[in-house]
Amino acid sequence: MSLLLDVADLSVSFRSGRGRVPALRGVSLSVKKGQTLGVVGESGCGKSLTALAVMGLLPVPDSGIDGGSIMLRTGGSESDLTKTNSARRHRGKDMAMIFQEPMTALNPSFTIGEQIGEVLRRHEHLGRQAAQERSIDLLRSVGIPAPESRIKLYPHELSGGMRQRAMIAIAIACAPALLIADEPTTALDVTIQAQVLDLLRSLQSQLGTGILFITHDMGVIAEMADEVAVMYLGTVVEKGPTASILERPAHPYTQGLIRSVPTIEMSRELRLTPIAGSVPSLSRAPSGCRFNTRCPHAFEKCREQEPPMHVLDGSQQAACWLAGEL
Amino acid sequence: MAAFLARRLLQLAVVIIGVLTIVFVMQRLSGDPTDLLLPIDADETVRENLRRRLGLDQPIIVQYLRFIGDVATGDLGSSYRFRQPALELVLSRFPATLLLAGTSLLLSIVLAIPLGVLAAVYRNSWIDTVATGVGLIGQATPVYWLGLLGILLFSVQLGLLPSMGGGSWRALILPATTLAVYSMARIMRLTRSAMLDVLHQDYVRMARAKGLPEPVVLFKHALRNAAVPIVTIVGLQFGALLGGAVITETVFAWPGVGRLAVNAVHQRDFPVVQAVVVVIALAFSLINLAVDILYAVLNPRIRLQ
Repeated sequence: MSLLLDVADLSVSFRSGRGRVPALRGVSLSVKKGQTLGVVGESGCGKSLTALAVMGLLPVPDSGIDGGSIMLRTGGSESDLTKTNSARRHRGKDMAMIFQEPMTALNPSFTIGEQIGEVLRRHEHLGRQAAQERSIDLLRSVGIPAPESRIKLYPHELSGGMRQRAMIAIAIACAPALLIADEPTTALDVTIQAQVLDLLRSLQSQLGTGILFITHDMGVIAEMADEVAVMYLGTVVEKGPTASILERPAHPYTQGLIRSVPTIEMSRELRLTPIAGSVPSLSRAPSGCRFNTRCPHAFEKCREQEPPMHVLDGSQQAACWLAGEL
Repeated sequence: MAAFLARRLLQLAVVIIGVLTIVFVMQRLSGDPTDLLLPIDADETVRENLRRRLGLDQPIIVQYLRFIGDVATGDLGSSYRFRQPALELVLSRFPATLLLAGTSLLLSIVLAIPLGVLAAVYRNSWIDTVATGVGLIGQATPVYWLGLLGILLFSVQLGLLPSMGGGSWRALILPATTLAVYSMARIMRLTRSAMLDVLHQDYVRMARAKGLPEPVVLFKHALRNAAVPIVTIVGLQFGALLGGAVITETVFAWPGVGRLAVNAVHQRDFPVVQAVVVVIALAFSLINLAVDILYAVLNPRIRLQ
């Protein structure tokens, strides 16, 4: 399966008057054509920052890319999105993003029709009339009933689920090869969540879109992702096929994440085990393995040396000195 | 919408009556117009006759009620001095003032909005420093001083522009620019702060994620959401320019309502002063009404009720 997006050794830092705070350190992950990579981790692990770096939307001048490459392969050509203005040429057309909070991501001052239509007019060079017709088709394809009248509505006149569908319609307007979904269901009710996930899956199979799916929810990962990358404090600690990572997590952090999720089969007496402690701040990240302050298995070496990625059986990899032994 | 308009027009009437009352009271406090209309050695019986003819011999409350009644029928009295209807006099001068205020406002908007947007986008850069500096100086500079300085430089020293009068676009340049400085500074500073509020919003990032060019992101997606406070200040400034052109019109001898008002005050020409105030107050109220309607156009979440 060919790679659509290949992020290699990406480093990003926050910049202030007092210097640089590394926020992403050597992040490597890839999305295959037509498949879904789930990126999972706690708040502040750098998963959204990775997405913004890919889109070329890192806040300037407060942050910037220090090194690494982000290769996007579309239509037989390849470009490095870390280069100046490179991401801008692909945004909206070859890659699109669904944001977490549709209420704030949709512009309150324009109708839904205008917000979809402007993407089509810009990238597909459609006229006003044609763009409107396509917008209606797109709204229908994301499951919005009566799209002919809905295009005239403003975001605040739609329900939360409808807003998220409208945002998805904007994202898929130009049938992008890569779709980045940053916690697209976090702000939604559980029933709507399931509908939106179903929608994303069916759009993926129709359009052959590769999805970078960001979430903190292991349950959503199990449902959506072909492959998983687990992030902790700006690094990827484990990655591989979803099935093998959920069955045999090799990194203590991944194990902790999975153990903290309740399952329907779980017996009532079994208690959920939270991960001890809390995420240290980026500016005071521990030396050695970044998880060592919270890891139940940490020993001397973990505090001194940062573990490299160990390749386990299949394509599963984990950055842990004890990978394969736990 | 109809109910909204009806209520606003009622409010407008209340405002106008309030304005009329204040004008009426203040004018009656300012002295006797017959002192100015008649020679200093005029006979007391001549004085009495004139007072009677002008209705000034009546009790104050009668004068007031008659005045309100006349205004309601569109009669703002005749100028004591020019012997023609005061309203007609004011309206004949109004286009000149409208031209001056309109040009100034246009000039300030054209400069202030791009500069304010740029200052917000490049916050803390040299553009921002220059813009906020210009804004501060522009708001702090007295307009008469700036006007005289402009006349000294461009009319007296360089001889490029006429220092006074109306009727040509060249005569418009100096007064319009002078008058524009303050409103430019105000609108610019407000645009900057309103843009700073919206620039970090999700929908601005979303607009970029859609691959829209930066000018579209800034001037369509961001500015539209920053527009409500900007429209408010533009409306207020337009009213202030119409009413506040007095000084500029005097400095540049611009044949507008402002100069008419100043002269009328000096001559205690009550009906003219009243007509000026009524016209300006009406214009001010109508501008505010237009601004309120614009709110609903700009921000679909605002419903007029």
